[in-house]
Amino acid sequence: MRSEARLRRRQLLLAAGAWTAAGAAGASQFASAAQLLDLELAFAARTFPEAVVALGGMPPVSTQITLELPQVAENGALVPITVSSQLGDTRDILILVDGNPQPVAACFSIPDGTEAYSATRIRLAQSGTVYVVVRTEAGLFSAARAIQVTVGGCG
Amino acid sequence: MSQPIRIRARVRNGTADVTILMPHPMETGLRQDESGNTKPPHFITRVLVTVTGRTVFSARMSFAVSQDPLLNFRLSGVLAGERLRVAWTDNLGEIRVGEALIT
Repeated sequence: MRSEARLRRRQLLLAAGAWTAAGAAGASQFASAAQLLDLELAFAARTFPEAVVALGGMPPVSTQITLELPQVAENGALVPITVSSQLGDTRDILILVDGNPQPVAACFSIPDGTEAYSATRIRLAQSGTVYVVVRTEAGLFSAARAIQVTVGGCG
Repeated sequence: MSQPIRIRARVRNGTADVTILMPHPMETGLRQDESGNTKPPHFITRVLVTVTGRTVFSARMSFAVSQDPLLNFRLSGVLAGERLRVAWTDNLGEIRVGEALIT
């Protein structure tokens, strides 16, 4: 289990290196953002910066994404979250939490015929920011909201 | 063994509102029991939702999803009377399936 985690971490660091190299070569020449999304790496990430690397950098903010979240959560173990996207061809919705030991909470895949809308409940270890990343045919987009947590919900 | 998956799927104005509750401890692996031993992680990793054989929603999860995961989403192009099927698997390889008629 542990060696597997280490291996994943290594893959992540290799990917990070590749991404930096690509950036140096000229980011605009590089593959589209959609191709950079690596879910395995994102879920393997144990820190928020690692997860952002797996996304190929934090995607541009879109006002077409709605993220509903309480401003204050009394209980971090049970925080309701609702996400919807008005972006065309929304394929995946990712929920990330910057203050969690496991930054990627969930990824919802939306086939044709299903609305780009989803609600669930997540754990927040501490106050911080919740990010939503939406993958569409045109690439990745994001939205974010700060939240205050009274009692953390991971430990 | 855990309680059955609870499913509600209702069509209103051509859209089915689906709510799924999956009883599961969603243990983070970070918590300790009374004697100070770390409880091993135990959480749902994947959920697949199908209607008459076609995938309408799927999810990957980590232990950052709350205990007894709740999912709510909306489907168009499904009809009352069709069968909605939910299957989850967790990090220990357990599998659970539930079904409900769309009303």
